[in-house]
Amino acid sequence: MSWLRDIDRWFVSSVLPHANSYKAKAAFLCSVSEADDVVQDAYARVLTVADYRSISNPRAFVLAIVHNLAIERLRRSKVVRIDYFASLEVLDVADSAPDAFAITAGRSDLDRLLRHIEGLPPQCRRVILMRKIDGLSPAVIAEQLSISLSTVEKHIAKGLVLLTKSLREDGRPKDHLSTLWKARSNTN
Amino acid sequence: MESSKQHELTEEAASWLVALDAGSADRDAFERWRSADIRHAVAFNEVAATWGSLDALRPLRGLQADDPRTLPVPQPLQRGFMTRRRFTGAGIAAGLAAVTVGGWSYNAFARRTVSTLIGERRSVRCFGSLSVDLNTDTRIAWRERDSIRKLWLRRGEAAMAVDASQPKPIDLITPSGRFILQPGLYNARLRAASCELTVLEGSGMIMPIRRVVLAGQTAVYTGSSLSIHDADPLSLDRIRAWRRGNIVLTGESLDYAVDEYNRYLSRKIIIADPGLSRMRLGGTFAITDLVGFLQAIRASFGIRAFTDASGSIILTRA
Repeated sequence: MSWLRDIDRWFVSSVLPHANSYKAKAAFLCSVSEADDVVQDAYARVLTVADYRSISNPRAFVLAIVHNLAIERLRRSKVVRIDYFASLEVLDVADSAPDAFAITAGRSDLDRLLRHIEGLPPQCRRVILMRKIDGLSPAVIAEQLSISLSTVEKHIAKGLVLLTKSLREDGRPKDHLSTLWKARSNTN
Repeated sequence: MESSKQHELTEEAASWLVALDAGSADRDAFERWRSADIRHAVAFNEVAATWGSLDALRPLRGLQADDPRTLPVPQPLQRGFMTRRRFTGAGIAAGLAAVTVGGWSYNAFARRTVSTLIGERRSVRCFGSLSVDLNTDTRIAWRERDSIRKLWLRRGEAAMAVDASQPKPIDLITPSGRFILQPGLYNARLRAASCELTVLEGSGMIMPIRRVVLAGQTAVYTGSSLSIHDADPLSLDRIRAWRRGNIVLTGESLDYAVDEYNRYLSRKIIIADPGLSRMRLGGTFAITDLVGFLQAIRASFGIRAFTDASGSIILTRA
């Protein structure tokens, strides 16, 4: 994949694998519905760091960016309750909270991926698997399925979009985090 | 919630990747698109990561239908492309080494890890020739590299079935010590400072000292001290019992019974009256039937149980 620059390779191998942690932290500080935006903003910041090679702990680095972006968002929001800021003092504890997500990832990565593939539209799934399991070129796939090359490419692209989206949303905080959130509200 | 803008970006990125992969993309146009906005670069990397993770499917190629070591897939997958292939994600993923694609390693798959929460049980198939049943609060990892199959037991208790279908033994690594397991059935339980390995069938070898543990024996290994003895029928019963979701008591103290139950509970049982600890209990109880257990000890010994403010279960004399 020569179309990835060094910074992209670093981003994919060192930053993206911890997506669930970033999202959990963002959801914890802001809200579940804003978490995706915050994480995307953080990714945008990270990808502009010129000296990325000197970042010794990429996960912690991105978590810190998420933290700061989330706080900014809270401050700018007009709907903030006053007691939010009191609870923000306990943020050192919050830093470890997102790791709770690692527990829900007891499902192995490939199990997750296969589940999502299972959810793809049939023709889309067929094409993706022919391309990625059997390693057939798009031209050969087109011939074998009697469809046009551009249709094959559309199916692969669609599958990629759906999978990227569902993998991203798989880390969506569910009961565990809302329990944590309730617990924190109750202690205020 | 994904905005429509985000969705558009992901679609654009996916189109670019597919075109690049097919060789039909205008490289310059792609570079211009990518540098136009940092968010384009982010979206492209996310899509590239998905593309790379799909490479982990490659070992599925050539899998034979009706391979008896595989398990049936859920209904929806059986139609269409996958009809001829029967597999589970865990089983296939098991033989993976780190995937290297065009120069970068997708290290997330270098070592597979599975764990259970307190009170949870799971079965996984690793390597195709090894099945592992994880008990409560257990954590394992596995990896095959250069034909050496390693299984790490990091925490908890696991039952292992090593197939005779492949001649390769399994290298079992625990915090207290290492064992080589030949085809057979084994139970390994980690305690505070030791590993207790019971060989039900087959044989194991303790490394590096090379002491053999035979079928019907239990080895307790702390890394510095070792004891191998014949497993008594009761401990064999207990091993079979947890697999069936039971706790077997044959005259052990209430302390022991409570410790066993507590392995499966997030909110623990606490014996408030020290005099109760020494009471001896017998019977087989379902792990999930805590209420049944509490009712039995109340009926037999007059022990009362109540829940305190934190949710712990307190046992006292009636």
